[in-house]
Amino acid sequence: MPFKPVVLWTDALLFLLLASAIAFWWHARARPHLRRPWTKLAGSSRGMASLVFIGFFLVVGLLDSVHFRERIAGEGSSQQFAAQTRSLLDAIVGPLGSRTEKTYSAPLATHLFAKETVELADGARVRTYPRLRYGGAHLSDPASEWQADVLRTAIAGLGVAAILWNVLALAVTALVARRSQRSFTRSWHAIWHGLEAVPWRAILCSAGVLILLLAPLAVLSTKYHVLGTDKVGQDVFYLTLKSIRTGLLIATLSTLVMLPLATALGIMAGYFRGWVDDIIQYVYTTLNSIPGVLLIAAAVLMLQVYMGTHPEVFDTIEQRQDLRLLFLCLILGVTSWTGLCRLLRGETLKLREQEYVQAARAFGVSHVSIISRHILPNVMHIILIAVVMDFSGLVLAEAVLSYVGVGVDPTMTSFGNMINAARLEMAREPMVWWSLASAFVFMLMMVLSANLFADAVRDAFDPRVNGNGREHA
Amino acid sequence: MPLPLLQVRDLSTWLVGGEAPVRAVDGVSMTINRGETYALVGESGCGKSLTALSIARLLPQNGRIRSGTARLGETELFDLAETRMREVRGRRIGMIFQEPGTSLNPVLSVGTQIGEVLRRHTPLRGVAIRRRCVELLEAVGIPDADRRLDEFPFQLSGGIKQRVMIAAALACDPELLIADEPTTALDVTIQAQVLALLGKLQAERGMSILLITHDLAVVAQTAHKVGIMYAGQIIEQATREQFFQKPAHPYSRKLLQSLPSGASGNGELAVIRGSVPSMTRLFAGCRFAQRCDLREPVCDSRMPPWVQLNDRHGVRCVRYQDSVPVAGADALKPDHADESGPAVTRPVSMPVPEASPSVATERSPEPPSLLRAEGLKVHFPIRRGLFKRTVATLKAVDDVSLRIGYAECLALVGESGCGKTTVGKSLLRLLAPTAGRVHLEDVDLGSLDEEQMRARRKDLQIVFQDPYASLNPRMRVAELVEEGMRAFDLGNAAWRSERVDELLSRVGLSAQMKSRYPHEFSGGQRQRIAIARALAVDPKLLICDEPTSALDVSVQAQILNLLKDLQRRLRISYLFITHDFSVVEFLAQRIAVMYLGRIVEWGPRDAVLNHPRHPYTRALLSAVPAIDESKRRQAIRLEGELPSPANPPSGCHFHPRCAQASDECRRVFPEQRTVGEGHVVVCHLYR
Repeated sequence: MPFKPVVLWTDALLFLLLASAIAFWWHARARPHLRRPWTKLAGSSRGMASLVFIGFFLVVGLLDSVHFRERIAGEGSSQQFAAQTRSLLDAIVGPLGSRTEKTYSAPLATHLFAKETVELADGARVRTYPRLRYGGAHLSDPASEWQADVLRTAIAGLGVAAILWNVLALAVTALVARRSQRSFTRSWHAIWHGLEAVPWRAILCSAGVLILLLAPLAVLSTKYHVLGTDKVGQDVFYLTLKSIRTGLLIATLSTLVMLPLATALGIMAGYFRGWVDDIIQYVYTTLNSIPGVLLIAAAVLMLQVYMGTHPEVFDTIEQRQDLRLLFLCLILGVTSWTGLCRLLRGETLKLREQEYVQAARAFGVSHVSIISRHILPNVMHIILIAVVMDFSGLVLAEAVLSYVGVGVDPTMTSFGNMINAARLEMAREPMVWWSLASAFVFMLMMVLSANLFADAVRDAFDPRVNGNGREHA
Repeated sequence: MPLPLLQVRDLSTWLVGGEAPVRAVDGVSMTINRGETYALVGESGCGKSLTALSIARLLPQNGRIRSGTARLGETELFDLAETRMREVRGRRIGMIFQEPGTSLNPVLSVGTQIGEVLRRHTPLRGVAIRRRCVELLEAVGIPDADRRLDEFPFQLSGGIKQRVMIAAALACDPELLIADEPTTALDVTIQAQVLALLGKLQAERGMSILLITHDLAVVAQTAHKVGIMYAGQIIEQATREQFFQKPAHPYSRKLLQSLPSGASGNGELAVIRGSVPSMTRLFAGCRFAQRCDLREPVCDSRMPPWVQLNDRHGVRCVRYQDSVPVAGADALKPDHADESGPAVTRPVSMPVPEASPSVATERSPEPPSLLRAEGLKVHFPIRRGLFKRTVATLKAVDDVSLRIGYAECLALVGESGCGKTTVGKSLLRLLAPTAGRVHLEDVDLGSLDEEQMRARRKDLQIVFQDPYASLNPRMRVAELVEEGMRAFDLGNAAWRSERVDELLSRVGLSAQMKSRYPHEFSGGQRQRIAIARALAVDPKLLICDEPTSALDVSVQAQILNLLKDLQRRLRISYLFITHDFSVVEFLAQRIAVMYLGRIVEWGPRDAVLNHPRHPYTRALLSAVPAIDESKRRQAIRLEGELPSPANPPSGCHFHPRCAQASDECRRVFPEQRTVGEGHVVVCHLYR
């Protein structure tokens, strides 16, 4: 085998989560009351447009979560594998990750950002901006050719974008045409006049914006460092792409840790009341009064000490990074369940007095059945809304924690680490702005689309907006 | 003829924002003269509240007035700028709403809230405002007005709050008072107080009232003119006398016939099939055609025209369009002359003093009883302070004994807060009784442990008040109905599925509905599902906790008929908890009247209804509004409201409100005295 698959803990959990999401979708398909809010969500143009962007981040994150180690020598049992774990994303973007320059270079530059003493062929030494090893290396005379080349490549990128978008639009139209049994042109007309239940127009528009942004970036990045390079010469575009997985993982895995705690304890407190409620309330009130950052710092520092004293446990750097990431998710989950728990407790307090719960009790239905059949399905919308709302908060929390120094491993690429590094770069003269700017823009895109999506989800699931309870006179 | 106060022409209001606009009000016209009460009557969802809100231009955000005019005196309301409209609201139009609890701002004192209106619309300032507020509170009959002004809404009871609302609405002497279901949330005794107050204020001030209600008995007592609304249109409009003597529209007639008091003890109530149609659709013909027994082909194709039968009576029905307008009531076609008439005008057949003494039913003196409760008490500790010490107990149910025979319906009647629901729940052990014994057949339920009790729960089932809250919205009908059978592990899946079909057809639903979810059903259908669910385990006793009070009159009739039919066929017993005497009269064999946690009088239905002995029962019965004036009783006005069960009065609980209270009543709780066969009263007056 030319490679050995590596399954990191976080990868496994992420795919598990994906699998359960698919399973839920399968389960909900046949149940109209479960499907209804999703159908409503699918009809919201804002929600669908933001979903396109989230989809991009999700795909990048998932690609970056399939890890393997390449074989470097040997056959059969004596195979040797590279010490570095690569991901599918690395394989796709190709040399982007390995083309490292010496140090900073500006976006699309052909020369380094700092002057160096260069020995010329004739032995003379001059202080000048040296050429980059990779960025624009194909140009013989950058001063005269650079502008035209960049322009040409960008236009080629736009061309690629146009083709891609047209293919997408045709595929969508064909799909709609097949579903609705209408002719192709009529489906096209229906899509552009917003006559379809699903706002394809919004989806295609946002996909268009996304492709228009990404395709030129991708084409340019084959010849240039399109977003510049950082202090050790790594391509910033590559780093930003790699950061997406970290942010995504933090947000989803923390939720995975937080959900069972919050759901079980919240429902138990509300349903059983009495001493159960007292204990759970004391626990979360206590936990809430300890600053979260303090707990996280303590936990992460403890882990750091452990990792320092047991280096033999970890085969690769990635495994170290991964454990720390997992631990961070864990501790973020433990510190953030109280809010949802309180919410669920209140809702359960209300639900347990509902007449259908009383009727079930009059039948002598057991507590477990009442909770699983009557209470849990009726608080599901709250859980879902809370999860989507928390997502962006957790992405931002990672950035803040890494900036403070108790976040992910310093060697791991993440938005937080990029911003942390930018602290020094901003102080340079002239300023190195591009790392911070790209981290900022990408994180903003991710959080903004998540927030917009969360809004749409809340609208679709909120019974008050939905009016799926009683109809009003 | 003097200029009418309010003239509404062709008002159409839509609710937009959904998939299709809801044509909630569709071409409503009406005229209200000065000093007149116009009652707008209709079932829920027919657009009566939106009509009122349109007039005051207080529509919800998605409400749009599509067309029409409303003229208040000389002013065209719909042409006014919003700032000018604010001058009209509160000053010329006053409004009171259904729920007094939510219409007052809980963080402002009563005086501030009434004063706000005065400050906005009158030049009064400072002490003058306070003086005016005191006057107003006194006018609405609130004693100790000066002190009340500084109190906050949570310190007031429901009836007082509604009075405060009325005072605020009257602050600037409005010409028109819009009262949207002003008494629906109140008990009968309080309802009687508020209606009397409105009548008195109207006589004093000569204002007009637009009364919105679903209660025909309230209309019969208060209104001058009646407009019946159905699916966004006014379908009949008449003076009160005309309407109650000769209702013209088939819907109005059915509505009157479906009142529980409209049937004899053994008969069935008239039922209007189906439910109010959705108003998102466009109607080609008559909106009532789907549910009408007198439907003709033309009804479906053409909208019936407005026919003025005489100058006091108009109707929207094709059956009258050939009639000569002035001919009035004679224009009624003969073929439905038989349907107006007696059944309609049948009153709530209130006890007539001279009526023959009721013959106690054929029961032997101590018939075998299905359920016997003795000395049932449910006390809730009131805890305060850091360590949750018990500072007092709320005696929700205090020493209640009752007995229900086989295939018998015992009605438990009382005002809200008297503990009747708590009795039901503690019989079922949904609440643990503090003391007392409950025997089901010969088993003492109190001596059973949890496992044994679970097995007995099969025999006791409950149907709740609110069909919207009693069905889990996330479960299909089949799962809902099956729940009890699964809990008791009855039969296998195939048998249960068959049984679900059978139960659904027994309650009048089709078996195809079982894979649907509750939100697809109307209130009446939901209540049928709830009944099917309870019947699934073959209970011997069904506790019905106000099962019809959340339903419209026409639907209530369907459910009551169903319950009666089930009792006859399944020999099932009911404990029917209600505050509505007309329902009691239709369904119950025996009645127990509850006041503040205790039963004050019980006996056979006719004995209690015709010869009420306890002063409270008498007052309660006299407060029930009746349609027929001749049968209306001399009102015994009850002063005040139900005291708190946390601090019940000494002696007889009823003495502070009782006109006949003696010194003894204040000291000693009375003994039970038998006054007739099976008729017992707890009062010092009888010994």
